[in-house]
Amino acid sequence: MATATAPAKREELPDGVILGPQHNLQTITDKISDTVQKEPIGFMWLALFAFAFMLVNVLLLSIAGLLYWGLGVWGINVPVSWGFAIVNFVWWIGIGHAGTLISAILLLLRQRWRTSINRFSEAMTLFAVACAGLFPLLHMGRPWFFYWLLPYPNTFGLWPQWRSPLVWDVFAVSTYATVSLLFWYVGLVPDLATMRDRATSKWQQVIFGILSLGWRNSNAHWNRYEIAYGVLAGLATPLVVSVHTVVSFDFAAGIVPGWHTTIFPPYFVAGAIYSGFAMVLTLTIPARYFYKLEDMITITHLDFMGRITLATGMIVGYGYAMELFIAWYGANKFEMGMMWQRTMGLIRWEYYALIFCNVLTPQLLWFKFIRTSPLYLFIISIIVNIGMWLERYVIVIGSLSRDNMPSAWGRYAGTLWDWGMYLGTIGLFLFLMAVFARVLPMIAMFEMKLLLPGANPHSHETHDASPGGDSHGEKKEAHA
Amino acid sequence: MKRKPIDPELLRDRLAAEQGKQYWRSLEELAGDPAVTAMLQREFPDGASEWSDPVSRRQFLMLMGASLALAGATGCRPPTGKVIPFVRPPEDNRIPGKALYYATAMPLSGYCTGLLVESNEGRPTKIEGHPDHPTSQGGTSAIHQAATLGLYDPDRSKAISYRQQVRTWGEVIQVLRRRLNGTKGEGFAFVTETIGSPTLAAQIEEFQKQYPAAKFYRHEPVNDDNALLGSELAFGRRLHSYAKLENADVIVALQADFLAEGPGQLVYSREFAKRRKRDEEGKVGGPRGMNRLYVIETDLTVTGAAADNRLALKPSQVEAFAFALAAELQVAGAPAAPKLSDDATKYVQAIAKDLKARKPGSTAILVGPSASPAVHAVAHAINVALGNVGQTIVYTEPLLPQRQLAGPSLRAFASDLAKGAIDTVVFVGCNPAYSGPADLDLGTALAEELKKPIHARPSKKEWLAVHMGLYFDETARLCQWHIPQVHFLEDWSDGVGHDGTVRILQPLIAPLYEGKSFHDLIGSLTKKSDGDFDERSTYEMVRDHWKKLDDNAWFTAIHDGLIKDSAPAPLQAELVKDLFAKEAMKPWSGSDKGLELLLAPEPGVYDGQFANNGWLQEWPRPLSRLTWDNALILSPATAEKLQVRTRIRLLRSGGEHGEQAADMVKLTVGKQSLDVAIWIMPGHADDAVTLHLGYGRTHAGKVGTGYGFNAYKVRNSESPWVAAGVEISKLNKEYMLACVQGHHSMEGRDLVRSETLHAFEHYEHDEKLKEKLKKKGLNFATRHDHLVGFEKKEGAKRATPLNLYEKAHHYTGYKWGMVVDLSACTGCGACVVACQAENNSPVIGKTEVTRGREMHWLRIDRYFKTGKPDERPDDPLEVHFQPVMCQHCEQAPCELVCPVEATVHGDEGTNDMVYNRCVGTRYCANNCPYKVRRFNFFSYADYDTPSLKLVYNPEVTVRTRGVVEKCTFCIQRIAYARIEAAKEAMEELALPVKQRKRRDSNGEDGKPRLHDGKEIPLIRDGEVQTACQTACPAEAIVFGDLNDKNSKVAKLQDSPLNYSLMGELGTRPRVTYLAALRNPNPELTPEKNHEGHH
Repeated sequence: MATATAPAKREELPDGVILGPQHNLQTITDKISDTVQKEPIGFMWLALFAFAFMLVNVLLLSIAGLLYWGLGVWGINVPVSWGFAIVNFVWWIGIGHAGTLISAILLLLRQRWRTSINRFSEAMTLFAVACAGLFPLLHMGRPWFFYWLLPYPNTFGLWPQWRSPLVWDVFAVSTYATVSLLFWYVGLVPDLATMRDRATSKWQQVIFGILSLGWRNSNAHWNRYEIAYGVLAGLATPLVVSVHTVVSFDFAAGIVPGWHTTIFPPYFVAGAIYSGFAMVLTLTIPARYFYKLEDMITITHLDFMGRITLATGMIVGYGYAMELFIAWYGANKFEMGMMWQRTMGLIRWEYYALIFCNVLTPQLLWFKFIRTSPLYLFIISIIVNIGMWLERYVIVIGSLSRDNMPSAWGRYAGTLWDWGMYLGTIGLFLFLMAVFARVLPMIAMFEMKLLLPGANPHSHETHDASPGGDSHGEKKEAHA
Repeated sequence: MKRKPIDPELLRDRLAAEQGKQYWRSLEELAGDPAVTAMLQREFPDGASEWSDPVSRRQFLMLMGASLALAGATGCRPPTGKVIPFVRPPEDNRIPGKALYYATAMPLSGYCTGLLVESNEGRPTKIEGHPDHPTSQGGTSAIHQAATLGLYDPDRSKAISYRQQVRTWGEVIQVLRRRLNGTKGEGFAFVTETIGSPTLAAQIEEFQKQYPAAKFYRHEPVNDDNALLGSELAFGRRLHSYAKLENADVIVALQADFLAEGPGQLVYSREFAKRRKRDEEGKVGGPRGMNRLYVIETDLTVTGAAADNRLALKPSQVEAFAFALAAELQVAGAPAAPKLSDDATKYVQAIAKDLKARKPGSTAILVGPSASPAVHAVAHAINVALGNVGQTIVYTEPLLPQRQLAGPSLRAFASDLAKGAIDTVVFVGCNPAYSGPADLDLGTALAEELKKPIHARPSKKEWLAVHMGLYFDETARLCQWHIPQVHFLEDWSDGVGHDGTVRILQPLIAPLYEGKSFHDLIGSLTKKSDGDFDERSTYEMVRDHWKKLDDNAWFTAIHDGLIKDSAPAPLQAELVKDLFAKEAMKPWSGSDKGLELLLAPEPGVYDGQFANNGWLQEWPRPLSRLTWDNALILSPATAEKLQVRTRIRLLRSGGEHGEQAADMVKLTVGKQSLDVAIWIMPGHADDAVTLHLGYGRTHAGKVGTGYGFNAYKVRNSESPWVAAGVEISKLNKEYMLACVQGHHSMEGRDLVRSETLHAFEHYEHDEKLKEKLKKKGLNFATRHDHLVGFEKKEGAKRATPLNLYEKAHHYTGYKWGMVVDLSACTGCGACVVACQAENNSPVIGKTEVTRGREMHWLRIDRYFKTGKPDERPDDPLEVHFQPVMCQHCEQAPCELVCPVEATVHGDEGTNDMVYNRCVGTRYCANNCPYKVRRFNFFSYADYDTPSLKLVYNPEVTVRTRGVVEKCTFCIQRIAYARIEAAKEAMEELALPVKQRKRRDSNGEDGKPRLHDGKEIPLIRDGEVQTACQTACPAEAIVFGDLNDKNSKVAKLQDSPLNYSLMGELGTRPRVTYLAALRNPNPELTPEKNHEGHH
């Protein structure tokens, strides 16, 4: 049972297989928990950690300077009162969407292939939301009064202003963050217990012991676990849609040309999932390479994620087309002016770059050989990430710099402080991901075991773990 | 060591010389007692060793007890002398928290403008125009508005000094008296600013009687030399002239920016605007109809922007134009017209035809100070020929007591200085080392005199130079002595207005920095009949000068700020016979090839004296919209020819709304040259460039030093305003200019609506069209609006965009609103500074402006309108201004999005801002379609400088970092009026209901309006006036209660010219605009068929 199970050389599994055939209950546990508990810290991890830590310090400096001197250190002005902070906020929140989508919606849809990537992407969600949360907080003129956005009993006798999308944002994002955290943590509990049981050092035993909440693997525990997890998945599902819908209201509820569009909610949600999957790809592809997880995060996973990226990318492209069409069809001179600015005017280079990144590049995903090539996918995912950032840049900054009042038209350019803050949050994100990879099981061990033939009542008929629903085996049988 | 007794005289002088927070440890030290000084210089004073022991508990308690007892003892000192408890208000009405207004006047280039100055607890905080004053009639300019900041400027010089060492008034006067003692004043010279004060003139006369050899020179960079010389040519003697524009049906302005420059600008603006507004009867321009303004000028000015027909010509062509106009009008003796371009000839013919068609005495030809004397004379001749004298143009004897011309006078000073005829010079209120023409090079001359050894001087007397001024400026640096001068708000004086009415200047505050006035200085050097020096207070000096007024008349004069009917009588001026035969009667030749240069006073810093005033520095100039700098202004075609341009740098925030990188050029005028940044101005004449005076200061103070380019470096004393054969070569350098509006076009949006008078009259007579539009809720100004998404209610008063709210909120009490008449607005920008002064808006500095963060609550947008939309506005047909303040939308987009209710709707319809609730998300600023919200990106307000704390309006919060702010409709003024009305209403409760004047009768059937079920005291129309409204010389802004059907503002909102800015957004702004009417000559501007595409 204790034989090493990692493949000797990197071999991609055949299409349609979502778990290496050599795996059994023991190897899955060994492989995933050893990354945390046994394997020494590698050079690549250390390099990533050092790089991320440096950027975290950049973030801290950027925040310190911002709080000391004031928002003026950023490039914002009037008319462009929102700059990188809001662009980055929306970008990070969008990235945070994939995690919950994978864990909740795909769980409810019984997509078994989600198991090897859900833990990872849930963590990504949490960290992305943490990064996102920094921006609206720090972009306030007087961030020390952030709690005025919360409904708490106070001597002013004032509540927040419920009509403001920013208040909705506070609730949407904080609920999302809370539910995502709970979901992630509940999903971790059985694995934390495994870690506890395998821990050899005292402090690991104590910490994992506390975190695993006394999990004893009893039937009653599993019963309650399944119920709780299902309920949380049910709760999280609408949140996937609601968060970015509400974020899109920040713009759609405004009357700024280029913002005031009813298509924003669906198109923002699609964009969020799009960028989320892109980020999952961006992180998964190197991770599976360095931790030799090709037999758990298989090429099939990448293929499926590529398909979702393509689908959501198409929705986003449809959104762009509709913006143009409605501006023309609506005959609103301000909206038409805005679309002129995007296609011919001030913001055209950013706009064309975004069309290239978000509409043209993902078309490559129609080709299977690209969807099944980690390298191509990685490159595309990076381009999509850039494209989605540009999309928010075009929406936020492009619209504000050319709004209703030509006399006030002005421009925006991020300062070093803006870039410091942005790169700093990327650093924070990588930092947290790096730490996560070392201290917690990256892949849900117990869920992976469900993919084993032994976990399937019909295992004697199908030996390969396949990506479909629970009834996959039966289907296959029927086909056969 | 035996101690010398302290000399009390010396002590008083030393104390007087101390400024600010300087502590002395004992009187002996202060008096410079050597024993004390020695003691202080020891490491430990005597007895210090007693304290070197650690403090024991017992000793500590003892000391604590003692200090507590001592602290208590200080509180037990009853005031000495008789004091009056605050049971009844003190006699001078000084009630804490209640502002008082005092009449005074501001002198500028010799002429005074009457002002009312608001004083809060004895500190002047806000300037208002003086409604009864012939020169201001209630309006002000930006420069007047900024005077309070000038008063509290922390960079003003604070002490009398000798070679930068603090000295006393006694010492400097001793030095000067010694110079004069026993002489007739030989070698003694004064170089003064223009003296407009009759009292001062009399004092100078007295001084000259005693010292007949002393010389007085006048230095005034912006002067009316040419106008006086022109009158001398035309009438054989020097005369002052001013215009009465309410009588003028046609005005021709030749290089004359009469709406924004010169002593008469405020009253001209008012009279001009009156003839362009639609009056209560619905007649544009009142009973005599709308006037027509032709402007022939080089640079695009405020007046040029207001013109109905404007022609841009280079300076020499403007002069030729005047002669051509005289010829076309067949003025007696006028020579044949000089050669002009086809365009100009067309204008000459059309204008002449128009002028001839008018009644005699109903036109006015105005000429600016930079035109040559010959052109002034031509204008006089035309005015006489058209019968305008006494009707639209009034001649009087020269008003200024100082008769010598400024230019020649300074030249005489320079040559006397070079000859060595001067040993003692006192500069008063002027800065010739900076603002003297380059060819005189007074800076170098003064520096050399300072260095020259005594034996090298012809008189063998030591050189003595004294400077008296508000600042330790460029000239002060070249003098041994400096005396701080009082600000005009600090001392008594008198002066004359543009029509000669005498006004009394009364101080609003005691001199902040031991300043002295020229009255004091010249008095202290003049002996009275009893042999003593004249050391009366300035009040006594002014009072004694006007001793012909009895006490009653005198106090009336102080109260009113002017002596009634003191203007000199108009003269009937007779033209000289052979005017055009005179040698001087030819236009300035200019240059056929090459460029011509025009110099002009800067709209903000004027001749440079206001360079250290942050409000004026940051005030966007009306046409260029530049702040903090001047630049060489040239037309797009000239820029193309010279291959110079401005560009927007990538990766710098703000962009066109903030900064532009301008090419630098080398400007060479004769022997002088200057490196200067260019600015491209559509509408400027080709083949000419304009440069404004007043920038490039080297010692202006912390605010003004180092900005812009010194135009005096290319100024020539012989031809101070224009230069020919100017060469410009491009340098490989760029300069960052801070410009708050880089986009000139309206992008086809109906922001400023402008129509011709012709089209309007056509509409007024077309009852069918009127009825048709009325049914749709449209009017003349909105007749082309597409009503997609509008409420199509038959008979609606105004078309309103559809919205989801069931119906608009009904305001039961007051409903504040504002109307801005774009026909009247000249874009002069006084309102912008008035708003800043009233509402404590901070100055943020050039760097912040380049980032697009200026903090003005009210801005004036400037648009160029060309024949076609979106065309590059190289040659604008029309220039329009639009003051944009918070529009106080009834459906305010900003209120909706604020997460913390920091911006909310008041129950009188104002959009209010709660600063201390604001967390600074700036969502409101984004969502404001008018972009009127401002954000404190940094801690802009100055909390530290002591003197700047005094300038703040105590009624308005000073905003901190991270807070959004914007126009409040001067809500503090509304609150004040409401309190006053309520107080009066309380007093009236004893009266029968019918006699109560504060009882509101604006409700239905004349019943009181109820608000929350309660009667509200009546605030009468006009009792609340916003700061921008009171400042406006053209009365373009009207504020009031829209629920009062009889209020001015409600009537104006019913005007057929009324429209909302971007009303199609459904914001229902409370501020509306009246479309601009223009009255172009149809021969020059062919009338388009306006209704054709309806």
